[in-house]
Amino acid sequence: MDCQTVRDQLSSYLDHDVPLQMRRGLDQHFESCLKCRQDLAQLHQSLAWLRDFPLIEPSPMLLQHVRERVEPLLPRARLPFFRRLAGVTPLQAAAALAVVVSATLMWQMTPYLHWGQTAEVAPPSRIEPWSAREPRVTPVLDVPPFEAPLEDSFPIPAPLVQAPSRRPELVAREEFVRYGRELPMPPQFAGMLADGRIGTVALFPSLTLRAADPVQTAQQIWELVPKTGGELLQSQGMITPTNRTPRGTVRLTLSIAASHYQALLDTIRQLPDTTLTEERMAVIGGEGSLGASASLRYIEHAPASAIPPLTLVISILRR
Amino acid sequence: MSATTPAVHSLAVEPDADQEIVARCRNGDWEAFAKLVQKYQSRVLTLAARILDNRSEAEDVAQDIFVKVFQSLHDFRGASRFSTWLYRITVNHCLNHLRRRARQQQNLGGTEVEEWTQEAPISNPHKTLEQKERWALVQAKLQLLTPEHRMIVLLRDFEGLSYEEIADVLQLESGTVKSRLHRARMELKALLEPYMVDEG
Repeated sequence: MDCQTVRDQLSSYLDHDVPLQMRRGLDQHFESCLKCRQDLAQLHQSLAWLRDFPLIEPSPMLLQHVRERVEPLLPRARLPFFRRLAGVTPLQAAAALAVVVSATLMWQMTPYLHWGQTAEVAPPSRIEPWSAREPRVTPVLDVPPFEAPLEDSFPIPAPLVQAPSRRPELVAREEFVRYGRELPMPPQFAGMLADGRIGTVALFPSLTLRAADPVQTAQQIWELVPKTGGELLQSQGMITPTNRTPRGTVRLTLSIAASHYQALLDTIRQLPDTTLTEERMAVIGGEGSLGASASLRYIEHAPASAIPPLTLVISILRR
Repeated sequence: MSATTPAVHSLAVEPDADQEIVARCRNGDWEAFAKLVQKYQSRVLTLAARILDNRSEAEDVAQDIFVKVFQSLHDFRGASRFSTWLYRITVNHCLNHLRRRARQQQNLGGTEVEEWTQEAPISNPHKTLEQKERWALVQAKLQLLTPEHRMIVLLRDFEGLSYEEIADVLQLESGTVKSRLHRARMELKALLEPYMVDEG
């Protein structure tokens, strides 16, 4: 058997796809021909290297994106009523609400007119300042005595979408468009304003974790979220595909029911190889809110129906 | 020299494991379809990433693949295994994506290289390669094969498909599979050979 014939059979030989007679001939040739033996070893080595490739873990958002695209194709009758409601985007819901509110306001502000009549509307003699109209907001909360502020200063939350420094344009677009969607306005809660009054402020909780494997921790949290009645709004971060090493911070933005916040926090504390290093509560509000404080402990006293979902930002750093 | 060991990443595990779940998917059962996606997403993504040499594009393509699978489930008659059918959709999507990318690159006059091929440059081909370096090297060399050769060698030696399954996925005659696979493997071997000097 000459070397060219052997060379033509190397691939089949490795796949056990040569007749027995030929296999014996090839084996004999390998024993006597160093070059062909080396060729076989190198081919075997090449394929072993190829098989050694690791599987790539998909982003936790892959399934969700598939779901968003497949759900409209599902038979509508099979979707329960509330699932169909869940298909309404926050933007659609906000637009619908805005239409209803404006229509109501216009109805209340318009003098009663018969069809075809016109009327002059006198301008209001004076506009009352906001403070004169107190109490404007009926507190739904039974607020416990004021406690010390959670923090000395209340930071303005950092931008939620931060492009990594490498390939900034591509990555920012990719992450924001593919993994993200428009964030809802932070919910309003009763809080202690700077002058001691109770007013409405928005709470923006954020957590910082350190984890041995930030991607795995992110996935574990992501799996917890549905149990809190919430959903994942954004997932950001870059990983090296070959070994899943995160670069920089993995950041999750969640919407969760405020009543489940504490339970989620407790569960996160118990995650393996994960440490909760910081809990921050940014307080955002209008006039009088500078230096304001608020605590989620307050809202535990509110009826569940009065509590809007919280937007929670979790940053996970590599330990 | 022993023959090749079975590949570890094979999609084709049990003969008809997916039939029941596929039937549920056909009836519009999202939960069943989610299970299918979860079962195969990593393999589809990995194969697409190896063919396209771009992780983020592979994620987009994987999304398209699963949506296409859902839309086409009524056309899947069970003549082949679900996994084989899924592979066929995967390679077709990847090929289409490569063609689209080539057109775009022709228009833009630029090329985009995925991060992992830029990592771990091989400075000295004669030293023993670390695993990460080796992945980067093999990935880079795979890209020098034609898409057809890259796919066939990945299907056989990374995914562990049989000749018959590859013929089904790539819509080729069995003889063509063997000859193409032989050429692809020998080409890859020639590209990797210089890095094996000290490997024995």
